Amino acid sequence: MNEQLRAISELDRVIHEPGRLMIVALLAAVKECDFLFLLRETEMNKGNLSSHLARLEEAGYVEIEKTYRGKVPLTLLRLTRAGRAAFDEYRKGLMAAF
Amino acid sequence: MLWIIRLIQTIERAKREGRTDELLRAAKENAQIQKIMMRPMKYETVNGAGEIGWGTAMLCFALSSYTSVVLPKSTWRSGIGWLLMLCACLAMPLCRWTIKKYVTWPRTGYVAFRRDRNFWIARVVTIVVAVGVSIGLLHLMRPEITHLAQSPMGHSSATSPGTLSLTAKIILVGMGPMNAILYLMMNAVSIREHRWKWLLLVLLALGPLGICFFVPGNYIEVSRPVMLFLGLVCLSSGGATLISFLRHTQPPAPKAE
Repeated sequence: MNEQLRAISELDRVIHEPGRLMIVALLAAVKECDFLFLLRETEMNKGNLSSHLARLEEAGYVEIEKTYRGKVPLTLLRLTRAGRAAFDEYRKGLMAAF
Repeated sequence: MLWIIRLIQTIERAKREGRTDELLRAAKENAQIQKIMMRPMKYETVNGAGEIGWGTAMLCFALSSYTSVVLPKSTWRSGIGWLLMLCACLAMPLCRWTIKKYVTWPRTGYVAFRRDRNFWIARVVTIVVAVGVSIGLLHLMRPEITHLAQSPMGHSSATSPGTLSLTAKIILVGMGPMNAILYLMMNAVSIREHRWKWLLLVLLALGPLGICFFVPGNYIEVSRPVMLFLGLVCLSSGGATLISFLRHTQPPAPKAE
């Protein structure tokens, strides 16, 4: 296996999945956003988005805060420090592979 | 999202088959990650809130100046002038916040942008440059300001024809390109979607030039229609953007989450 392929095999599998990569890329660009924003931007359905977010939260990459705006429930999402570092690392790995 | 799937599939296939040539093709698609990271930026200007705020501020400045001409001399005239000045200072943050909270976020979802070190450095540099330029302009205009202050009619005169010095002309005409640059900076993303904004950009740049050459008066008398014009252009542009946003973005069903 050459260097490029080894670099690819070392990529973070949690972020490497297309849906999660999109979520993390979007969250990396903002400070925080709500569920509705991600729903619109990723064009996923609620179930898919929720399961991807749960996986990212489990990995410690995303922080999910359930709160209220007035009487309306609001789910705030933000990338944790570890998530941001993992995404930076993932991009570096991708660049190194290419 | 298709491009991500394509990217991952290409990487996986290349890995399985031990081929690196496909990786080169995939490399081009890697740049798309950067594109997706830029996507939230459009929400800064999607609703025209910045233009409405800026336009309102300019209008308030112009109206504040007009109060000294239009309203009769009384104790509350200066009060109204100061109130309009205060409105002008608060217009930008208030308009942005109100439109975002009550119009944009319920439709597209809440998003807060990152304000990193570079953002604050840029903001401080902008303020320092703005203050520097203002002091410089005041210095350049000093003879004219002194002359107006000493004249018996004062700057509130609407009847004295007055004259516009070359310095004042340059400064007032310069307000056009300066506003056009600010407008371009504020609408760098949305100008691609709304092509008609290029026309407004030209109007903003050239409008003050026409006003300076066709409206007689001293620099205060000419600055009023200039600010009024710039304010109206920005406000109508912001209004049109907001209407377009409302027409094309529907709020989600009540139980979106």
